[in-house]
Amino acid sequence: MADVDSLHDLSDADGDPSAIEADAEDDETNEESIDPSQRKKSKKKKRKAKDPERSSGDSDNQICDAPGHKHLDVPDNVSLSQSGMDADSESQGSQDSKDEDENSGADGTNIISQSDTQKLANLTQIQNALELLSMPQSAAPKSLDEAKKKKYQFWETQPVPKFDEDIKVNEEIEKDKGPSEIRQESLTLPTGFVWDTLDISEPLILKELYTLLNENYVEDDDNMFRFDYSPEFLQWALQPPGWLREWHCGVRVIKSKKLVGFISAVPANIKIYDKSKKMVEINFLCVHKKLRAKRVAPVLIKEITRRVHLQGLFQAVYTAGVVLPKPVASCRYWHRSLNPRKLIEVKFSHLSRNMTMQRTLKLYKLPDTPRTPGFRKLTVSDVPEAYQLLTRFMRRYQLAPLFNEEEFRHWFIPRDGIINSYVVETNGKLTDFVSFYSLPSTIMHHPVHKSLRAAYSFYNASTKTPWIDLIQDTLIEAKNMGFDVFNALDLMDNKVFLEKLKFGVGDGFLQYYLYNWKCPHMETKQVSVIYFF
Amino acid sequence: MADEASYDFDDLEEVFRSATDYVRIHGGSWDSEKLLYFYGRFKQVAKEGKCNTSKPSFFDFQGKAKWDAWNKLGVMSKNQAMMEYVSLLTNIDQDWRNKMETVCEGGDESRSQQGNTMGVSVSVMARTEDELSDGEKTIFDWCKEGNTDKVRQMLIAGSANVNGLDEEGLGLLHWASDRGLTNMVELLLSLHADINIQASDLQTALHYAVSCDHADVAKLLVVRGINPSLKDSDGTTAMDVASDDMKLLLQSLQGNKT
Repeated sequence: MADVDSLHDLSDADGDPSAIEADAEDDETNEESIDPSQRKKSKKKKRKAKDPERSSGDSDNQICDAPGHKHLDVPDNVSLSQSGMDADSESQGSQDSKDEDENSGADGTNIISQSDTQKLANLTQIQNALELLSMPQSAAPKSLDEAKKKKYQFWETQPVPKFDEDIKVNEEIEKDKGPSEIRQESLTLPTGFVWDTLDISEPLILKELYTLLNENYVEDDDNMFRFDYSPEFLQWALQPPGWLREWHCGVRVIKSKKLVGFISAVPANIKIYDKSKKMVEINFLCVHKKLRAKRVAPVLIKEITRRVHLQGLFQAVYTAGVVLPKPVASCRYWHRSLNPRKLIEVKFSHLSRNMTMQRTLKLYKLPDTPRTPGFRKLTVSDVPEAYQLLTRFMRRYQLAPLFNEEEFRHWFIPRDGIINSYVVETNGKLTDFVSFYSLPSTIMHHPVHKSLRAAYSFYNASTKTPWIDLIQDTLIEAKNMGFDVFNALDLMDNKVFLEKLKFGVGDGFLQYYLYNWKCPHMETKQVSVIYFF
Repeated sequence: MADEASYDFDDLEEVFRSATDYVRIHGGSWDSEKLLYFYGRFKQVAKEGKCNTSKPSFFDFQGKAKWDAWNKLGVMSKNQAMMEYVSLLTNIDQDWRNKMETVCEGGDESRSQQGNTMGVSVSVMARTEDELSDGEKTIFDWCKEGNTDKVRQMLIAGSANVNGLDEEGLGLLHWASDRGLTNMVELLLSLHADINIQASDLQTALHYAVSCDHADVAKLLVVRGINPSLKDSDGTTAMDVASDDMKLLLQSLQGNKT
């Protein structure tokens, strides 16, 4: 009768507000109730908790909790979620009900065998649970309004601006730390795991990283597509000039040596309004699916922060699909169909009710070859001039990388299957520049199509050729290279051409964040930082 | 590992959490006495102390048993409760921690998980149109979806005309050919659709099939005797709008017939 799932059913206690509060509290409060024989050990724990790095590393399991949006599916028990980002009293209420819902679902057979009264009670419970689930706190927020209602226990301890902060300045939040203020040893991982700095020049290790990301990195809500970063792509993205091995930070299972977690940083000079700052771009945070309840992700974030601090850098730029405190800008993806039939077949896009495939194919048809005279692939000998062209052009943006020539070479000299760059040469002078990178997605569960070939708009500059012409030629090149879709964010000057060139709005958002920096919010057209997804 | 007293205290919560996972997965077949023992200790840990809810009604047997299991622990400490939980589990299955690790390291025990860590996902085209409820769907909607059962039903019941044109000026056969729905085309033809039906712009189903590169549909239409020389309002035949591959296909089919 006490079936296994209802074992962990907390529903019968949720009438008591003190119980709910207790859930939201930290470990320390319950130490009063620890029996004397164990007090010694628990004091040791308390001391540890006061260490600043350690304590935030401990309490920030909400990082892995909050941005993940399928909260209903989190298999954690109360002990995990109570210190999660949802640990405000509001969502504690719903946490109970979520457990209820899980039970009610899993218990279907039991419910039937119970008395009618019990059935009714269960039904009400399910209904209540469903109501609560439809409330914003049940999922990580994807909009600012939702996010403002949430409490972010972890992020409130971090040097990031609050949602309601009216920022007029453009400066760091915390002063740079001195060497003595930076923790020297790595953060503590859950038992059974160990840090491993990855040497991705080593093909076997690179392959391991490729496998981890490919199987666990990003999936869309319906699980239809997964990014498929090639090993060569990862090397390109993770080893730009100035890269450090220490910033390719992996976590392995001690026993099996299996790579189960990763986070990276690469150095970049970033312009923010009138200032420029050497910082890092944080990317590729990934924890093996089966370990997400183990609180590895938050420790990864703390650890990379520590390793970046050790190099004397105290700011970072990062992006997320979810809203956290506090985006500096919010961008959205747009998609230009190049192979509409395939996109529809794999359900990347849909034919609307009164649209025929025939008209759709006609709509997205492109000329066979680029139209702009002088449009051609970037060559190595173009670099000095193209570099100047892009650098001058990017001055118009307020959040943008300040490349040096070496970085320009790294990011833009064409590499097969990774990066393509083009210039327009007019009377021996380079007047325009476009680039896009290649990032395919694995198509899940399709009998015929296994891979979606996507081109992503990268950095561009137009001084003579109108954007529409320049990007249309880029679309033609991408189409002729066999790409199925061309993606662009609505940042930079992209809004000028998106609709006119028949891009359709995507369901993906990309929030831009700065760590330890506050500045006024930006319009998307002021932003020119591209991340690799 | 079997000796629960050896657990490092800092790990206890980790071990406990893992234990509760294990019980959820494997506890289904255990007797209720054990499960109630786990339940009481789980509640003690989760709610940070002694039972503080009112006793469920006499008729709520399950509720009452669970309440009793928790209530009799009194003021037992959280750590004590975690210890006892882990101890019983270790008595039941000495090897449970190793089994959990196997699960975590890629065993076949697949469990629902939260989504990706930072909410990054592959963006796809946003849906701009609400889906129709079944009640709102016309035979054209069912046809475009490829639902042959519904279309057959409606046609046999006589609630729709197999050769009618919709507000776009297309017939069912055009839509089925445009969408590449071979089975639907087959069904429509078997229910006496006019194979040479022309849309308001005079295109035939074959115009649609070849311009969308739906080889199977084009083949079916030709085999069933569609007239390939019918012209649309621009004066073009299906052959005129065909891609090179489609042209070859049409030519070979026509060659076979003559």
